[in-house]
Parts: sequence; C-alpha cells; structure tokens
Amino acid sequence: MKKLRIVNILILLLLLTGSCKKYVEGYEKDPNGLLETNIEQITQGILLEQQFALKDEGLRTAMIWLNQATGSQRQFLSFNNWNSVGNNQFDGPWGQLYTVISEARVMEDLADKAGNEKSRGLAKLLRAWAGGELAELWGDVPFSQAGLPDQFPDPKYDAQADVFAQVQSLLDEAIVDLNGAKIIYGDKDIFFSGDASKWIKVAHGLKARFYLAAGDYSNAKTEAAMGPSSTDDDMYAKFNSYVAPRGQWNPTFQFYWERDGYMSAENSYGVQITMNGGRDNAKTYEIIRAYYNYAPGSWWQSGYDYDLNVMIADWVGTNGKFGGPMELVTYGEMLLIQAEAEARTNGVAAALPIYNQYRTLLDNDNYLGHWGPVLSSNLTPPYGFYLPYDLTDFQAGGIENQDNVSELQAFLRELFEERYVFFIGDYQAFNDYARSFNDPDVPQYFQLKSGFNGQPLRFIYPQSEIDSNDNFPGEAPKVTVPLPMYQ
Amino acid sequence: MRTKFNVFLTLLLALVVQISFAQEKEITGVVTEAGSGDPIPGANVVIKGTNKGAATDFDGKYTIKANPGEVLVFSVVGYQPVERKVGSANTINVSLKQGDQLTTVVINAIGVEVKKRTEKGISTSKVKAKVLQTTGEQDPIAALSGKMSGVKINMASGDPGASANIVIRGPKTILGSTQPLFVIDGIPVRGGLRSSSVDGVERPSKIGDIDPNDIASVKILKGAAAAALWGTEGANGVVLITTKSGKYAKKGSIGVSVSSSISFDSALTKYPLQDKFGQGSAGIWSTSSLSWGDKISDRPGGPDDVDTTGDYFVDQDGKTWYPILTKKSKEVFNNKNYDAVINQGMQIKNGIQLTAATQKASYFLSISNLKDNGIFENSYYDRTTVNFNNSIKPSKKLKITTNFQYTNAKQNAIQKGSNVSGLLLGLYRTPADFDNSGYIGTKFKSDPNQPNVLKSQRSYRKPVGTDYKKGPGYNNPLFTEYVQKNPYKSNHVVTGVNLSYQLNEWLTLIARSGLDYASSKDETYFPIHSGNYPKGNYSSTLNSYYRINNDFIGQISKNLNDKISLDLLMGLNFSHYKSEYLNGYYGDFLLNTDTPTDDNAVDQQKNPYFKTYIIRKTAGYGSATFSYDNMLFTTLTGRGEYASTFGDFIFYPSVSVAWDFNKIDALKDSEVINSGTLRASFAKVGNEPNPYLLDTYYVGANDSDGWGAQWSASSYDGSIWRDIIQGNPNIKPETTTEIEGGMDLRMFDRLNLNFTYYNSKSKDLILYVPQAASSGYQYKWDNVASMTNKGIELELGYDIIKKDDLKWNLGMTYTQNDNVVTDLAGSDYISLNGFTSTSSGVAQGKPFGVLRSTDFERDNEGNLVLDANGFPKAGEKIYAGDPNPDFLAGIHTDLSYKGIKLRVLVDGSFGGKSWDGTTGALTHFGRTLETANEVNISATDATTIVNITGAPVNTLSYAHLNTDGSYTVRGNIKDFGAGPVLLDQVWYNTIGSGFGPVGTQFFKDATWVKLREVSLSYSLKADILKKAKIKSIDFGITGRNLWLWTKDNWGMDPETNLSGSSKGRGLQYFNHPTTKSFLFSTKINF
Repeated sequence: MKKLRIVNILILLLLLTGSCKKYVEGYEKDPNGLLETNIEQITQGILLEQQFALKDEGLRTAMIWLNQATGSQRQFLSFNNWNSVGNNQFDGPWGQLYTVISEARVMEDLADKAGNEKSRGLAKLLRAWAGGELAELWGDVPFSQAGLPDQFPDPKYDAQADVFAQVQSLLDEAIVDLNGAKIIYGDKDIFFSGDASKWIKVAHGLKARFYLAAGDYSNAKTEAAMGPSSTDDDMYAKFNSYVAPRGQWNPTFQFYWERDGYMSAENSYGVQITMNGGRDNAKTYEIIRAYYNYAPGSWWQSGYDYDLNVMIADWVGTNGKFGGPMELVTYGEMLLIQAEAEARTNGVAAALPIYNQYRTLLDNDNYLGHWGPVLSSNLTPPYGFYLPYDLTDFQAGGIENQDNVSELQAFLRELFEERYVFFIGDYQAFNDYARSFNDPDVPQYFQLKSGFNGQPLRFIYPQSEIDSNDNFPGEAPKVTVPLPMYQ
Repeated sequence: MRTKFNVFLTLLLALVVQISFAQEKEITGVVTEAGSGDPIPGANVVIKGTNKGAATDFDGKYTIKANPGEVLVFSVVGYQPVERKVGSANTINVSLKQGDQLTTVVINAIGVEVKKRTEKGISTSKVKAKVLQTTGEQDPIAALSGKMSGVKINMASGDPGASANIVIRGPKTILGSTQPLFVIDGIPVRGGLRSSSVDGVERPSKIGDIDPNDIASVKILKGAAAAALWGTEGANGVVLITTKSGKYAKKGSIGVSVSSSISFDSALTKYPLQDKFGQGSAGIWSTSSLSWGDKISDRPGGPDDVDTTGDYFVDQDGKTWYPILTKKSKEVFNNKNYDAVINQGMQIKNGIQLTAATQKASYFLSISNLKDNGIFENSYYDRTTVNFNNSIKPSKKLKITTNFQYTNAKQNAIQKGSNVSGLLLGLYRTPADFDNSGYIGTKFKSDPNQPNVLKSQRSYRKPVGTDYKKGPGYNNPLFTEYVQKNPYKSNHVVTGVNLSYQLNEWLTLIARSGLDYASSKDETYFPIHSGNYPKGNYSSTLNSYYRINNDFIGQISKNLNDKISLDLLMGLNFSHYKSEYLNGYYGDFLLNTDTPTDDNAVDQQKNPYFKTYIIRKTAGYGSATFSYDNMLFTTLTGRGEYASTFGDFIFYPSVSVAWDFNKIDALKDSEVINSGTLRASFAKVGNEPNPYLLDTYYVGANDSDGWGAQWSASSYDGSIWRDIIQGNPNIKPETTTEIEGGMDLRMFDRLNLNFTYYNSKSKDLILYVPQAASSGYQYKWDNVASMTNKGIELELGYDIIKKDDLKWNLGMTYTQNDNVVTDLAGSDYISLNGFTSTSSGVAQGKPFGVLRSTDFERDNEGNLVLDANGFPKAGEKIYAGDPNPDFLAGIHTDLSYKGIKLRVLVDGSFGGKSWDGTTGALTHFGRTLETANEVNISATDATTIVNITGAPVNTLSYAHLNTDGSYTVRGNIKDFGAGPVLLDQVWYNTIGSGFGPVGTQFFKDATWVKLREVSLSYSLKADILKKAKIKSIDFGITGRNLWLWTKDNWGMDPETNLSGSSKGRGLQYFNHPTTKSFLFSTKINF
C-alpha cells in the first residue's frame, strides 16, 4: 500500500517534469512586441531614414571639410582637419545608409509576397539610391550581399565600379516595377503621395547622378533628360522646424539646438563666395541664395560672424535651408548634369543653353529659399539675379575666364562652382570634389581650409565595420587617398 | 562531614518530594541559551508522556502546573532538548545548548526546514531580530549595515523612505541586476529597487516594505554554493528573511505587546559655503549666476537701494521685492536659506503585536505604522504594515502554514542631483547675500500692456520672478520643496501557504505556493515656472506586478548505517512573473494647475507608454547530503531549468564538503578548540537575461545620431520596421562559477571565528554587441563579456565577560572584494551612469564601475604640461579612479548587565575614490571656501604673478591696492611647476571649474568611518507592573549615524551615490545628505 503511494507520487513527478518545457513555451515572445510589419507600414520609415541619412551628421562633416561650414567648438574644432576625424565618426552615416538598404530588403520581400510591383519598385529604388551614395562616399562597399543578415552576416565588399553597375541595373528593375501592378501607399509617401510617375523620374534622375559619378557622360545625359523635368517634379526632404513635432525637425537645426556653438559658417569659403560677393559679377548676384544657406551669427546668438541658416519661419519670416525642407533630387540638378555631360561630350556651345535654362530657374527664385519680409529688410534691391551667359563669357578674357584657361575649363570651373553652392547641404558637392580633384578639365573651383595635410577625398570606413565584418578588406585607406574610380 | 551533609540533603529532598506529590504545583522558570544566556522565547515545555505543555514567552519565561516526580521536557528547534524532573523547587531554570549542529533544523536557501548538517559546507551570515530592531533603521537592508562580512550596503540618501542598495561579493553582471534574490518565508520577492539616475527622486524599495520589527531573522547566502538551488536567480546571492511566528503564551491567553518609538533626525553633513563675497562677477555685485561679486564686509550696510518703478514681485507672504539698484546690506542668508529647507525631521512609529499558540496552532499578528517627516520640508514617508502568520497542525503528520504581509506605503520625495529643478543645486548656488524666502507670487509688470505673471517663481537669478512660462535658471529650493510634487503610493502583498505532510519518519512531502504582488503609482509634477520644465510637465507611472511561485518538494532523511546518513531533497518549481507598466506624461500646460488632467495639454504634448513583461520558469532541483560519522559532510545540489527568457535547458551543479576536524581523537577533548570546521565548495549559478532578447522585433521607425538629431515616423504618419538590434535565440543566462574555502572555529569557549576566501568568474555576460551595419543589423544581443571577483570575509567574536548577569562581547567583520572586468568583447568602455565629463562604467581590465574623466595634459613622465603663463591644460580622458573600497570593516560591542543592554557599532569603508562634482560646480560659482580666500601680494610680485589669461595681479580690476603698494586679491596662489600663479575667478570659471574639461581635479579619497549605532535598552519587570497585567516594559534609546569621519574633506557623506541604487558608483553631485537620529522607543508586553 505504502509502496503504491510512492509509485503514484513518482509517476506524478514524472508527468510534471514532462510538462515543464510546455509550461514556459509561448512566453518567450514580448506581448507588446511586434514580429511583423507590412508594405504599407514599412514604407514611410525607409523614406524618412533615407532623407535623414542624406542630410545628417555625415553631411555636416562633408560640409566642414569642403569649407562650406566650420567646426567652432569642442570636438567639432578637430573636424576642420579631415585627417583627425576618427573612424568611429562614420559609424552613424554608414549605419544610416545601410539601415535604408536592409529595411528596403524587408520591404522588397513583403512586396514580392504581396505581388505589389510598384512598392517593390520603390524599395529597389531606395536601396539602389543608398548604394549609389555609399559608392560615391566610400568607394568599395558591401552591396550585393548587404542587408541580408541571415545569408550574409559578413557581407563582402564590391568594387566601386561594380556597385555603380549594380545600382544602375537595380534602378532599371525599379523602373520596370514602378510601371507594374498595385500601388505605393499614398498616405505614407511623404514625397509624391504615391504618384509612381514621379518616382520613375526620380529613378532616372538617380541613374543620371550615378552615371555622372561613374564618368559615363552620355548615359548621364540621356537619363537626366528623363529625370525630373520641371520644378513640380522636385523632391525635397520633408523636414520641418520648431513649429512641428521634434521628430520632424531638420537634423542640422536639431544639431544647432542641442549643440549650440559647435558648428558655424565663420570664415568659410561658402560664405565668402555667396555672402561676401565672391561669385558676383555683371550677370550674377548671389545675395538671396547666400541668405538661404547662411545667416548672420547674431540671428542664432552663437557669436560667430556667420552660421548655417537654421532659422525658421516664425522667427525671421523665412525658413533657412537648414531649418526646413532640403533639396534631394531636382530638375535643377538634371540641368546641371546635362550641361556638364554635354560640355564634356559636345563642347561648351552645346552645353550653354542648358546651363542658361538652369540659371533662368534661379533667376525666377527657384532653389533660393522662400524669403520673406524680414529677410528683405536685410537686403537692398536688386534682390539677386542670374542672367544668361554668352559663350564669350567663357572665352579668354570673358567674365568667367579672366585667367585665360580653355573654354571648357572655364565653363566647367563655373559649373562646378555653381554645383558647390547649389549643393551646400548635399553629398553631391563632396562627390564633385572627389571625382574632379585631379581632372585637368576642372580647374580649382574652391578653397579648402588651409594648414591641413592632403585633401579630403573620401569618407573613411567606420570603426564598427572594421571591427565586426570578417570580410573587411584589411587596411582602411586614409581620407586623403582617392576613391578607386578617381585615382 | 561532607557525607553527612549529603545524607541530610537527600533526606530533606525525599521529604519535600513526598510532600510535593500530594498536590500539583505551579512551576516557573526561565529558558536561556547556553553560552550567551539570552532568553529563548517559544521553547516548548511539555510534561513527558502527556499532552500537557506550555511555552516560554518573550523573555524565555514559562509557567506550568506539574506534579513532583513528573519530568519536564524543554525543547525548541535548534537546541538540544533537556529533561528535568520536578522536585521541590518551584523554579526550574534551564539553559539549552545549541543543538548538535548536525541534526538541528535550519531554513535552507529555498526556505525549507532542513538538517543543519546539509549546510555545513557553505558560508552564510545570520542576523537576529533584536539586532535589526535596535538600529533605528526602518529599511531592513539599511539595518544590516556593518553587521556582516561579504556584503556592501549603501544608502542612496537621507530622503524619507529612500532605499538601501546591497551587493553581495561584488557585481556579477553588466546590464543585468546586481540585486540579490530576496526570499521571505520561502516566497521569492522582488527587491523592487528602482535603478535611479543622476536626477529625479529616490523611491522606497519593495524590500523596504517590511517592518524590521516583524523579522525573526535575516540570513544571507553569500556564495554560489549556498544559492545554487536557485539556479538562474542565484548569482547575486540570496537574502533569506524569516518573519515572526506565533509564540506560546499561557494557555488561553494572548501575548500582546504595544510598541512606540519616536526619532529625531537631522542632516549628518552640511556642506560649508562661503559668506564673504556676494552675488556678482569680477568683484562687482550684479544679478549674475555667480558669487564672484563684492566683499560683503566692505558694503556700507543698511537697506539696499531698490528700483520701485520697474517690475516687482509680491511673494506668498505679501512681501514686495523690488529690483536692487545698489547692494548695501551686509546681511547674509546662508543659514536662513538652509534652515528653511533642511531641518529637523521626525519619525513616529507605533505598532501592536499579538501572538498566541496552542499545541495544534499558532498565530502571529502585527500591525504597525511609520510616519517619517524627513529633514526636507514637505517630504514624508508613511508606511502601514499588517503581518499575519499562522500555523496549524490538524493531525500529527500534517502542518499547514500561511503567511500574509500587506504594506501600504506613501511618499513625497524631493527632486535631487543634476537637476535645475533639484533641491541642493539651487540651494548651494544661491549667493550668501540673497534671501530665498520669497519663492512664489505675482510678478507685476511695469509695462501696462503686459499681463502680470501669476504663480511666478522668484529665485536668485530671477530676483523679481520669472516671466510667463519662462524658467528661473535654477529653482529656488523652497519652490522645489513646496510647489513641485513627487507623490508615490504603493500596495504590496506577500502571501503564501505551505503544506507539509510527514508521510513516515523519513519522508516528508511539501507543497507550497507563494504570491508577491505589488502595485504602485509614481507621479512627478513640475508646475509652470519650474527650472527644467518652465512650461510645466506631469508624468505618472502605474506599475503592477505579481509572481506566483509553486513548489512540490520531497524530503528524505535516513541513516543508512551506523556511520552514514543521507539527507535528500527533491523538488519541482513553477514560477510565473508578470509586470505591467503604464506611463503617461504631458507637458506645456494650458492652465497652471496641479490637478492632474490631460485636458491641460494639447495632443502633441501628450505621450503614453505601456509595457508588459512575463517571465515563466520551471525547474527541477535536488540536494543530497551524505554525512559520515558526524564528521565529514558532502552535499551535492543540482538545478535544471527551462525559462521563457532563454532558449535551452540549463543545469546548475554545486558540491560542498565540510570536515569537523575537532572531532578527530586528538582534538576531541581539547579545551582550546571547542569546534572547528573546514569547508570548501564549488558551484555554478546564473543571472537571468532580460526577457525578450531571443527574437528580433519590429518597432516604430525612428533613428538618431550621437549629436542630438533624431526623427520619428510617429511625428509623421507612422511606420513600423525591423529593429536594428538583432535578437539572439541562443541567448543564455550569465553564469558565475565560484570556488570558496573557509573555516569556522570556536576556541576557549569564547572566541568565534569565521573565515572565507572565494574566487568567482562570471562569464557569458550579456551586451548588445556592435555588428557590421552592412549586414542589416547594428547590434546583436550576445553573451560575450566576463569578469572576476575575489575576496576575503572574516567575522570574529569574543566574549570578554560572560557571567550570568554581566556579559560583554566584541565582534568584528571584515570584507574585501576585488573585481576585474576581464573581457568586454572589444568595447572600450561602457558608461553605466554619470556625465559626459565624468562617468562610472566598465572597461576591460578595470574594476566594475571605474570612473572615467578628463585629466590635465601630462608628458610621458606624468608631469603637467604647462602653457606660457605657467598654467596646466586639459588633456585626455583617463580612468581616473576605482570607486570600490579596498575593504570594509565593522566593529561592534555588546554589553549587558541584568536588564540593561548597550550596543555600539562602528563601520567604515576604506580606500576607493569618488568624484566630488558638487565642489567642482560650486568652485565655478565661487561658493566654496577655497574660492573665498584672499591673498596678499607684494608690490613687486604683483607685476610678475599672473592669472590664467597672463594678466599680472596689478592689472586686475578686482585686485585691491593697499596703501603699502601691495595688492589683496580674491583667489589662491599656486605653483604648478613654473613659479607661482594666481588662481582667480578666471581660473575657477574655466579650467579650474567643475564645468571645465578637467574632472580629475575633483577626485577624492572615499574613505569614511561611521559611528553607525549606539543603543541602550532596559527591560523593566517590576511587581507593580504585574498588577496592571504588564509583564514588562522595554525602554530603548538609539543614536544612529551619530558621527562621520572622512579621510578627505567632503562636506558630504561619501557613502551616498548620485545615481542611487544604479550601478554607476562614486558620483557626488548635489546628493542629498544622509541623516543622523536619536530614537526613543518603548514596548509594553502584556
């Protein structure tokens, strides 16, 4: 009898043991944690990360290096010297672009399963865009295996030229998909409200941008013609200012807000040629655009002669470039690409009408900000102008050729200088320098900060990648080493 | 002669016995502990062979009716039973020897009664109830300070209800909790310490919900082997708390005791501030934030000249404050400003305890209330506890025990630390010549087109009040205490039932279930015009959690043969924990009201957050002890677990061996060594991963850089994407393996010694490890880091005098722990808490919590690199100090004479460094004594001695030219190596400031010694009391934290830590002072 009871207890214990694992099963998942998303809901995050990646900390570093801005305090003082910026400063800019790539992979997968070709096209476009920017800034980067953590925890590095080639074919796929079935969720598309035709133009615009970066001028020209074809097609980063929730603020405005005084535009070359009349001539008067990019230090109270213009409408009646939306892909850029490609392939005479078309856009107050009453009180008429150039202006002794260089050199110098100002606040200005620094057709068109060794020709690889990617190719090149395609 | 006398005695005895047989008589006596002579309450007194019995009361007294010739059996758990035959005497006093250690019963790690021999191989420290209760501490952890080796206890601050932090044998995790597991009457209870930050408020811990008066004993399981039965919850050690249970009183009567105490508290430390120089800068009075103004004694005196035409302020008492035009008054307000916010606190505590017992049942009921009005105005802690424990024995084999504890706690705390709305930050920065007394009122605007500002805050930086929705710079400390509110409410229940069934003489089955449930509401209210939220902010967090813990246990105890006996315990455990948070805040108030309603903000300013955690765990565990010849003991334990927080099954083994070497023949009868045990153990225990690290989740899309820029899709139209942190399905518990060895020795029947050495290695510590972003994730949860702890624990006791009515003993504890973080998986440094300038964190090869700060620039030999003016420059960030003490030590002595008892406890922490950020900041403001020094410089030196800008003394506008041509200037002369230079305001505002880059100049030795406790008690037992049916009255006076010595000059208590109970250590930044108190208590026993 007693034995029986013990046996019963033992059996009970065994049964309990068997149910042990079951007891904990199902509780390992966070009851407030999501294990999935869908196409509609992932879309906006990627768009927002893309614009953040293109306009945040990496851009500020590039602007300081290009003498469009200045590091004025604390750690930012050392940012002026491109040789002294540590690899870990690039963890952020690199990580942001790869976040776009990996989230876009998730979106492609979701769109694939749902048969939503248009959304898949958008995802491919975003991934290609991020890949192209990575190749422009770092050269050889992981792309074919990037953003697939399950298959490739240590993605291999593709050569810069291969990345550009992959980007082009991926953009081709994107265009096909964008012409395909289903929709882009309009309420989540902050840029074009789901209008695929606008995205197709952006895709062509990006193809033009990256062909130009790869030195394929004829393709660049063709694609640029299919890119955004009026200012209505322009794509702006949807940043806002103090009047909106913090999560919408322009990243540079936020930086000024959090790190008052770290960064300014004091003594920058960008201020010299815009604010201080360096680019002004009989046909050009830059003052409005100068105020779009820069503001007197007294406006922000950080005590420098000039700051980047992070002003917002409810303070001074206008949004500075760094206080609100910023250009991403524009009709203006397309005209600049076509002008350069035309000049390089068919000569200045063929390029000039296109460039003048671009200047007319500026003269009609495009890409100059939206200046209001307060700004106008700081200025006296005329409020800036961009009159058409003649071919003679680029010939020896002309307005843009006082030093008697070749017509092409004079034209490209003006064009690159224009791009230097137009792209204050965009990575294209940095890529322009990286691809042209040793191009005999492009004479020096701006001045770096003096006293530092070499030239900033690339972004250096981030510390996290050096430490964590087993396929990282050995030694990391210095900032002064040209990118593979520009050597 | 002697023989004759004996015969006579025998005859007499026989006669008495004969007479006594005639009638049952009342026998009384006292049962005491052999050796200590302490009374043993609750001992059973039973007439052998009958059911008739009684039990001893609180003083070990008993009364029983028995017939001469009957035999009384005195027994109680833990002591060897004694039998006495009833003779002629009406009084039978017995002293019980501590039971043969091998067969007496103790409570083991999981709260089950086991034979003591099963714990011979492990080291524990035990503190008895009365030792806790005389301390005057109301937090049971704080009450343990200095009383045992191997533990480090820190008070966060002297706020009422503030909790104490306890770490046993050093930290064993980086991101996880360093808190030990608390087990109350067998029920695992969450310690509930809020990991606090550099600002905010200090809240009570959940373990602080227990009234120390309800505790029967606290036992600390320090080592891994001792805690091994808890597996994943054992790495930080276990604190076993046993609450009081029913005591036998006279049959049919109930033991009642009523206790009451009052305590007067004051700040233990007061930071010394200068009162020589007034508000201003460069020697001139102004409404500057600084106190670098004019010399107060040089003023003409009399009332200040004021501007009665501009804006003015009418304060809460109707007093009008005008802007000062010329400062004339010599009045200083250091003391007045201080006393207005920090002064005497008072604690009142009342309680009643009822106890009753019969042979078949016992009850214990205790109700107490504590009201603590802290030393900070408007702060309080109010705790009500109900404790009901009962035990019944329906049959000889079955015993049912239930425990129930309920605590209701309320608190209002004061904002602290690095916080422009904090108390001391605003108080200490207030210039000596500014009167803080008007702190809230109306600001009348002179501009007729501007509305007056209601509920404006007046502070030294806004002497006529803040403008509407604008901040005060730093809060007026009175505003911090009286206008801001930080209420807290909590309800906490710990309850359980335990069924124990003795199947036969060697097998017992136990089934038990325990519940730990708490819910709390934690609110913070910053009205409009608060320092950090000029537009107002309200937040509230509701948290509720419960844990249900069920065990099914079988126990076998059997002698296998004459020499070998076996104790076996096997159990199954099922645990379910759930915690829910609901937090909401809103800001930018519409109305300046303290009514919490979300109508008072626009949608954009409202923010909800909610989170649920569930942890399920199941385990099988067992322990087997083989005892050989009562001399050699081997215990093996094992625990296997499945849990929802990690993927795979995990097993934790332990083995411990003990040898009673005094039982060898050579020592058996030794007069020198009474007992001696050598012990050694090895064990593996774990630290549980946080829940939900196994999967990769999809989260609201957002990102930020390291510079403050951020975006969030929820600010647009919303988006959900894959998290950048990759889950890890292979995550496992962090494991600690430890070996320890030690000796327990008793010599000369006077000296007790316990010595332990341990060496533990904690590995698989969880971090989020950076990944190649190109892969698609930026971080991954992984078991990567490791650290070691090595240490020595020593406890010594010596009975100097041990007579029946006079006893004096001396005790000592010594604790040493050396921690090294041995592997950080490639991370340079991970900050745990602090500031960008100085923080406490972990770094490879450094001790846990190492302080990192910027030093002066030095050359390769470590000499200062000086600039052209002879001043040092800022250099690199270095590991500037180890906040961990070299060792901790405590000495206590107990003296008792009849009913009078005196106890003195001194403890100290030796070595280690802390960062004195308070002095750093106050240096900047010119509030420290050092900055108020004046130096005389001869006419010639005045042209050569320069300040940091290179300006000679004679060119400084604030240097006073004396008639003899010499100069008097505020500051100090120092030689950094290139000749004497002047440290003046410019130095103290730049590189010499705590706000400057060089944090290392404010590092100090953290050594301190405290007179922790002096307590005197007397138990009055007079006949006159008996008529009032009072058994006794106990009186007590305790002085707590009466005296503090610090090696370096602190002006603060270095035991406190800015980040409270968080893992960041060694940080001082406007920490609230701790308190000293005098406690008077009475207890009436009926």
